Amino acid sequence: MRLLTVKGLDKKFKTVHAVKGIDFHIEQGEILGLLGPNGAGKSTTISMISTLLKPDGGDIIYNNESIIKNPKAIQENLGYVPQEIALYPMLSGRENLMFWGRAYGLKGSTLKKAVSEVSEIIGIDDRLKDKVKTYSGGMQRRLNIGVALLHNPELIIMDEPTVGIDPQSRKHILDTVLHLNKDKGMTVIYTSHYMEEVEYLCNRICIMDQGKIIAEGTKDELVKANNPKTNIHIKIDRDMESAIVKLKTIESVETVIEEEELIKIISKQDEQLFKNIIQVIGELDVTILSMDIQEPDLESVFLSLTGRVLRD
Amino acid sequence: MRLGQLIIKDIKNIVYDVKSLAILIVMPVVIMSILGVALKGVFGNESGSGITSMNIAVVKQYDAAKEIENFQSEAEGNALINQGDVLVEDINLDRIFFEEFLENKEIQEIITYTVVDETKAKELIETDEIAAIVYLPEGFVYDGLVNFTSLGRNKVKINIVTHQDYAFSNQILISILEGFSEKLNIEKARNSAFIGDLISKGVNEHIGDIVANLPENMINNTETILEHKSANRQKSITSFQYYATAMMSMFLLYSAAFGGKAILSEKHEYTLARLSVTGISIEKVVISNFVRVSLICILQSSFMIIYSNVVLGIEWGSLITIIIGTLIMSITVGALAMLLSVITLATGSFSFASFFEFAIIQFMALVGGSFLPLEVLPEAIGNLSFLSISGLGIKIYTNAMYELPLSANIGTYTLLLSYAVVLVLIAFIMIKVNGKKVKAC
Repeated sequence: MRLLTVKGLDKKFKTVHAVKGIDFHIEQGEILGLLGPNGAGKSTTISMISTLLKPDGGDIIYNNESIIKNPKAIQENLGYVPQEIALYPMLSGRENLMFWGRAYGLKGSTLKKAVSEVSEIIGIDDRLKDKVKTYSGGMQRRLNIGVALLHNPELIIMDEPTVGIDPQSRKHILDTVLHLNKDKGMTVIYTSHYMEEVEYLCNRICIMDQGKIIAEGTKDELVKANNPKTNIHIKIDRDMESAIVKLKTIESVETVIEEEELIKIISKQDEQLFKNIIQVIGELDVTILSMDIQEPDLESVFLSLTGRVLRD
Repeated sequence: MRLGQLIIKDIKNIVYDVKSLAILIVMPVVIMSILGVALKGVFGNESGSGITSMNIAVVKQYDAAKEIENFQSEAEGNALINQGDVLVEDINLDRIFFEEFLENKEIQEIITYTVVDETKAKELIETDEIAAIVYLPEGFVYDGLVNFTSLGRNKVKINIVTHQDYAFSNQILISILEGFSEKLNIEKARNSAFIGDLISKGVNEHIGDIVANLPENMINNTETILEHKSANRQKSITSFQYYATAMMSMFLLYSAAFGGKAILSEKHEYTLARLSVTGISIEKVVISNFVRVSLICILQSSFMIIYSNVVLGIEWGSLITIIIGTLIMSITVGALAMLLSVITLATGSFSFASFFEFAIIQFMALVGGSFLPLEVLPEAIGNLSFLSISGLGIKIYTNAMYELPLSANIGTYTLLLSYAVVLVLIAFIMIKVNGKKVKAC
């Protein structure tokens, strides 16, 4: 079932055309990733979906209703996790959860139950009484997410929720997102410029650049459709020059160079590539010390689409 | 979400923030204490310096010519007068008071006087044209002559009736007249010693008889006395009391500056965006801020009044006037904070709130009389005092100290509440007009 449809969404800020008439949709129960470098238009897009910004053009349909005309249609069912920590640092974790729970219309025992459940999910139940300003960055991030979960929303929008935190908290957040999606059936829109997060979490990915969606699909679909390169780094004990000459004869190989005592190969996607390399090197009297194969990923898809790396 | 929850959150935020709370509440109390102690000395010693002129009326309740004539007829045998050692004109208090005292160049810089009858004087003080009435009583000249020419100590009583709005000027006037009175008493003492000396040396063999023959009421044991009353009022206030109201009224305005920055701060901390996503309107947020600032003002005022009363011994007077005044002041300051917060949000910058803090508050404090009482300021500045919320606060609190009836403040209460309504209306109109700019994101 289609939960949300974005049609021709457009937004300008004075001289900057931040979002240029984009279209996409999300099915119920999906995790949709919006991937792109800083300034691609991801945050502006989700700000419009969250009713924070009014689009200059286009429409956003949530459960068959335009949220431009009726923002309340989405507000009650939306959990919004902003990129920044949007909490009251002088209040305790519990006071923050209670306040935001009330803001979402919860009260009484329902509110208390929600606070208890959410603090367990985000793993801060032992620090609830402490002021938020005393929390670590990771804990604040988790509470930032927790606030958006209190009213058990149908759709959660997470805007780069793992920026600037330690690996342990990051893993906890990613696991929480998966738990919410799989066990609670929540639909998630997840924006990030960390392609490994998007690869790990998302069923479907929209790659954004300069206000446009430049590719959309599952990870495999994106890789296949955009024909990115495979990178292989080989280390051999001797006779690198002969090996380079031989490797260049493989049809799918585009570039072979020697760098830092490694042979670096860039090749088109080719299922026979690994077998062919082993065969060619085996013909020489050398020993392979190491081999590192970098399969095409979203980074290389982005590189292939834009000529730039994702984290520029 | 109920507005109440938003207000509770806002109050918790400020109560937990010890630093902000200290700035808003403890600082005014500290400054009030320091100023109070410092000004106590200043007011006692520096009367008149650098102060602009005050108008007073002098009511002569005596007939100088007749009293001189009386004195001369009764003192025919007075050796000092007869021998020309003392000229009546030299010791005529009427001449001394007006020509030597009030016409003195230095005194003229401070006091401008007009001699009028009692009815006219009362009319002038009612219409705020003069700061005080000085009554020179019947017998003023006669008693003065007796005192200077004999061992007699007749009471020369100068009454002063002061206008409540000129507390500072009147402090100065009283100090000056006290100086005059003291000078007369010294002269009298010196004169008595001189007469005594004459008697002991037998310079004039009749002088003992003259003194002995003077009427009894001429040699009573009194001196020149200064009596002070407030015009139509039971009480007058000290400069220490005045500055307690002045400081408190001024510091309430800083709460408006604090509130004026609060919503833009919330925007910068991204909680405003989050509130917006939950469906809470910007109107609710600014109303909550209005209530928060009003409550801070009530807290500030209560703390300052109790502290200054208990620790500094300042009497604040009529409780009901203070309670109603504090509530109305707090509402008006809350409304001011509301408008400031909307302007700050619309401009997306703290500049206006800072401008308010560093310029407008100072302007209001100046024209409202927080730095110097209005009567010592040029009239043009004093005429702007109705624009100053702090000035209106001073008026309410000093009226409470004078223990004036509640009705005396109705005009000020109404003006403050009108300001509050206008400020709130402008804030809401700005939200409507600036729609896009006054947003969470």
